[in-house]
Amino acid sequence: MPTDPPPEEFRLVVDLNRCQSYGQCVYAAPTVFRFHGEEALEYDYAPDPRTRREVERAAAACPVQAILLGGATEPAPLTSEGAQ
Amino acid sequence: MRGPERIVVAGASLAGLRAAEALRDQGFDGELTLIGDEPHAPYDRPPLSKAVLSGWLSTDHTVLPRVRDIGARWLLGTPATGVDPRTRQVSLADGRAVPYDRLLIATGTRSRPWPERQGGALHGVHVLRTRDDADRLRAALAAAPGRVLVIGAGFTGGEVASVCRDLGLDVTVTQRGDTPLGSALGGVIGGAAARWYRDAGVDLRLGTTVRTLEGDAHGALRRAVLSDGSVVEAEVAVVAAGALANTEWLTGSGLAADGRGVVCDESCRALADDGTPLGDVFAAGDVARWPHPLYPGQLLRLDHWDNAVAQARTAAHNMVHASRAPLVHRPLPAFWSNQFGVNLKCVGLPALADQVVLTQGSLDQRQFVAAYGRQDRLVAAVAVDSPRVLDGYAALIEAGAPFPPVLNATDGPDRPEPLDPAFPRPADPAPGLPSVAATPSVPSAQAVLAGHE
Repeated sequence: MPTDPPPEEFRLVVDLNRCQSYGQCVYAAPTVFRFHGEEALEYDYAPDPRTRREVERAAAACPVQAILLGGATEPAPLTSEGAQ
Repeated sequence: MRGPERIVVAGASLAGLRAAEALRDQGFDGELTLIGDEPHAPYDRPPLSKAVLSGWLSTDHTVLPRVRDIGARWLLGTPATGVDPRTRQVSLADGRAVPYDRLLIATGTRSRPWPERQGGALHGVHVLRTRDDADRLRAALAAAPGRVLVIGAGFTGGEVASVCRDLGLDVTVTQRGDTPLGSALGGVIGGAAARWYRDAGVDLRLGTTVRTLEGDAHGALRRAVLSDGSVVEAEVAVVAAGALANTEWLTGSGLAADGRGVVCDESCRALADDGTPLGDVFAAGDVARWPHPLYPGQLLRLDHWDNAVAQARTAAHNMVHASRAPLVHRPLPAFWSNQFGVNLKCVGLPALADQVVLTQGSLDQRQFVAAYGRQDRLVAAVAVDSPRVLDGYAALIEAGAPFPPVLNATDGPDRPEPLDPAFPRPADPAPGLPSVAATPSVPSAQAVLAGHE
């Protein structure tokens, strides 16, 4: 049986000034977003790539559109070019 | 007229990254270089004092998303050590020189360290600003110290103390002023915050400073001697006493820069010593001080997440489109904090206020909104565990609405009772903050330096 290639890693950030703690993201992707206390949202910036579809649903469902997903295709920057 | 061919961004954190992306969005297709003193790809700082310290998130899971390809040359782990605006070159710690046509200064701030002669070099004394700081402090907390001492009850100090209590650690917090958060929010709201500390079991020492930190024969922290002569036994101390702008590398450049920041104009152009704006050097983010059109007569520096993003975008636009009318950077300040189980959000600048009034809820409940006024105009609002109400207040602030505001909120008081917001007097600067030569009409302007996410 052929297997799917491993999904690519992705990143997200939430604008927590804009966030109004509606919690739709927590329902959509409960392993990525959580509430600490009643209103304090916490989340994983680099979740398991297999959650990507859930996170995309979370971003779409956010009533204030506070979730930003990475769109870059180039590799992440590394310590480079002669730096120690 | 042709645009710039080489742009250098000094600083590879939130402001530097978003500026680089905005430069490409604005059509800049020349050579783009980002310089960062840390060896890490841009990451986000707000979770470091919360989800990272609690152990829920590791620091490699705080890396920021990059929203588009930027085709940049990244020089990470190589601090910029100087700039010569005449020859248009940035020099690096490893001896290289990087030429530019336009330069963006986005080098941010660092934590104010504890003085070495008062025990700052002892093992167990921490600050919390960078990923590496957070990894070290997380490891120290995970080792279950007998007590943690937090120096300073500002936003970072409160968040650290809150996580310590969540982890079951005993914690003492010293605060020079009469309440936590006093310089940012005043003593009325700070008094409510003091109850959050004490309800969580924090040993909160108000009106108290640390005289010295003392170690054992191996150089490990053992105790702190406080200003009242009392002694706190602690193996871990976290110095949360404000920030210093990373501007030493600009010494001798002829730019108007010091420990308070680099001065720029409202279109983000850096100023020379004589006050003239440079056409090819810009500044954005935590390091920038500028005359905000909403707050005349002073220079603002905001340690706020959304300010870093917005100022980076404005600077990027103005760097690329020199021949067009420049965009003006005039955001409504906004920040948030999560501590002791509550979410606190703020819009506007409370530190400018001469009055505060409770508008919704009750200070004794952990859910309320307070509005701040200056000369009978609404200038700021703070919402505790009420994140959905602030947009309305923001609109009123921007419209110059009268104070106290008329809201008709169902959970509002029968009659508004404005109070003196009880900001520290200028003679009592907040712990760790430099005394700033503020315009006399804005007595607590130094308090706005103590921003947060």
